Amino acid sequence: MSTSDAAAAGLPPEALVRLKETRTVFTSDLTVNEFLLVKEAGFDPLGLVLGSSIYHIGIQVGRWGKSQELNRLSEALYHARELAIGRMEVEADELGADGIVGVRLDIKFYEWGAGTAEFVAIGTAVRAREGSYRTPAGKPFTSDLSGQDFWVLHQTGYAPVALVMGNCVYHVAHQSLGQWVRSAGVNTELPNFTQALYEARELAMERMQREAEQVGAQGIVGVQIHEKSHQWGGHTIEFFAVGTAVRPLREDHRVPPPGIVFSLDR
Amino acid sequence: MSGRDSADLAVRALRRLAAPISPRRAPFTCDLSVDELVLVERAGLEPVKLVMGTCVVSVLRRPISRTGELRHATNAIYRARRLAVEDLRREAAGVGAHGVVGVRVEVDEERWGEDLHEFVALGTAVRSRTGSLRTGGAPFTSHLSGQGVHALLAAGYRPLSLVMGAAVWGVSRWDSAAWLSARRRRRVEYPEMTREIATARELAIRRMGVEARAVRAAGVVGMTIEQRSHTWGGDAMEFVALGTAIRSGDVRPSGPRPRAVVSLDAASPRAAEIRVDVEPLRRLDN
Amino acid sequence: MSAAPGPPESALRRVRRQRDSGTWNSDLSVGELAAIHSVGFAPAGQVTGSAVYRIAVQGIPSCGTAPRGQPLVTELAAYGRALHDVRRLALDRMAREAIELGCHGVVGVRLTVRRFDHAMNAVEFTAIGTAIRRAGAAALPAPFLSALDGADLAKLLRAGMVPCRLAIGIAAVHVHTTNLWEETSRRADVARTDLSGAAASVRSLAMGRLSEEARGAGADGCVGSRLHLDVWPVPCGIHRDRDHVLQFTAVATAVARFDTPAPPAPEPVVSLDDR
Repeated sequence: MSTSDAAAAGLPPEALVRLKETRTVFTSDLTVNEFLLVKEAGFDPLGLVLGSSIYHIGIQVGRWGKSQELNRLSEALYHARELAIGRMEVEADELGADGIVGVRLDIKFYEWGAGTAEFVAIGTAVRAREGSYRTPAGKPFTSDLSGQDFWVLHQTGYAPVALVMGNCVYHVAHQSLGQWVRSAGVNTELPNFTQALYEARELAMERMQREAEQVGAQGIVGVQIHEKSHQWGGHTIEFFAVGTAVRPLREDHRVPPPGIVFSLDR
Repeated sequence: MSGRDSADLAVRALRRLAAPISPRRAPFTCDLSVDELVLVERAGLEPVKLVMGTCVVSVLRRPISRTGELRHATNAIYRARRLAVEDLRREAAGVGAHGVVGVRVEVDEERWGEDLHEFVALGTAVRSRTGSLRTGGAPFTSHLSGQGVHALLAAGYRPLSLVMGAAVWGVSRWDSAAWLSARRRRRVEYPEMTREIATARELAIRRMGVEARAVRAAGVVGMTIEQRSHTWGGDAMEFVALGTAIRSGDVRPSGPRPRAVVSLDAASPRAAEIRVDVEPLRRLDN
Repeated sequence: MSAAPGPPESALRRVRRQRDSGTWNSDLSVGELAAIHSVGFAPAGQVTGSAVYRIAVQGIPSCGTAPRGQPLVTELAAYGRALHDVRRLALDRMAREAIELGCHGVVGVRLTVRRFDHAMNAVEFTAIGTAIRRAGAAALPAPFLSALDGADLAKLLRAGMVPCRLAIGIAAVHVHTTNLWEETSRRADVARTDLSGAAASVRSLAMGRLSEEARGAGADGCVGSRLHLDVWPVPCGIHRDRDHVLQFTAVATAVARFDTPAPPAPEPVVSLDDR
């Protein structure tokens, strides 16, 4: 890849230099156990891959008494993550990887600029010793599975396809005075909140589901749903659903029965 | 170990404590937990001494006139960490150790006063019982825990050296203002800032890789990136990448292949835990 | 154990009552309870010991005695000793309660510090832990002490080691920094070897004492070390410099080997449980 291609993809020239050097000496943020299990599963770590984006998120004000999605915020957060992950994928491609394991997605709000956040995606690019594990579309797979989960998935006869995500930034209506009076001090449900949070969570999960369908996955594993108010105060929450979409490697998914133990460790 | 043998442990232990104390050679000190100690000894290493290295440096705030690397700060921070680790390594060599495990570098930027940064490297100096980890040169260093070192050695690898890379980046006030105003109140990326920060991060990781190549490593594991922001007459961001360089060892990998298990104790840490010794297990879960 | 006054009568009364009733209290988790039993011990009850000392930094040297241009590092020996002795006293009183309970050891020992009365510089140190015993075994002259919990105790015993005492190493130094150093580091990025050296000294002093205490107890090593460095600036009376006082505290559980275990090779497993 040339420097200008890299720039077009959003990678600084420094990235290309580093990736070239990592071909001879891999770098990875896998722990020793993860490293050994990834190798055990038949893959070699190639190098650390990362992508980032500094994005202006800003604020969007919802109507005080109305529960609704703040779609501009949803889109901004989604796009920023997409940029970061995309750049990480370009780095993996440059290394000729089959895929990326252990992807971590971090958000940090900066003091630089108001409402500015940095989104970082980091993972370890790997290559299979035998066969190719790229997705049906020919791209390296991405997954936020740990080395351990990656090994277990492989044992079970599945391969990761892509990190899939769905998000929704929701504004929860403030109760009207009447509503407060009616529900004050008793063990009752606050229907505003229930409804709003329900709605937001469903939206996020549905969007994630749709992404999985788009990449032709059979299922999603390791789904996590994060609920964060970031910098917006308690009535604005982002629901972020993320998981790894998987496809079957073989027809049957029978595995040797796991041993049963009482563990001694800590 | 049968239940009966286990129950006798208390008796044997107490007998030892009741026996008269005979003068011994210097007891070992270490920065290991019990789990780590047990695994380190199983890996054929003996702890010798808890070793430390300290470096207090002044890192001046200078106005950031130009966006880019703050070379003086990178050098100061990198050199200080290196000095602390070298001090630690020297102390380890002084007690005849073959390596240092569990090395961590702690940073304090407040307590010594303005512009003084303290870096303390801490670890456990160990000696290999069979002498197999002797490199003939200085003791190896590694940030891996006792569990990590045990797993690595059992798989036929060996730790070579703690490797680090640093980059401190500054963004001048003018650039900062220009980039912000060009896109304020529009929900889009700040590409220039993204590029600067990404460059700094990549550089720190790359420099760590350069150190790994210098010791002819096969690769680096357990890498972490520390990130700190400073306001030094502008916006400055510090990145430090740290990992352990490894190489394939002379020892053939031994031991059984990993096995999947379901444990009958807590599925969730909140449930009651009842742990009973059946057979020793080494969890690969961290 | 020290010859200093032991726990007050009221404390001993509580402990004796616990012993006689046979009902113990503890903050052991269920897992710790099982672990302790699995190696042949049983809990007997919680034990505590405390001491209040008047602690103040003393012995700061006059800066005029520093050779020209040299930083001056002086140990604050009496201060350091007081910090050590107050902790030792609290631990000894806790150990006395354990003896009253007919116990062989105390696990999960925690040392806490509280400023009792600012004006008087009064500081209270409290040691608390769970006393355990092995039925039928002869009493020890002093119970073993361990800052590690019940589960760690079981692992240690299986590995052929037993805790013997809590080793403490404390040291405090005063470092006078010269004008020259301050000026230099205001103008350039320099490695302040004066301060690094002082920090290294105080750590080395403290760790040496920790090691000595372990050796004195016939231990083979120390595990579970907790280290802490405090640094605070003090005005220099004579020059316009700023001096520092450094205080390093190290606490670890000293262990003795009683067996060379022939351990089976651990089996590597990956758990399928939710984490």
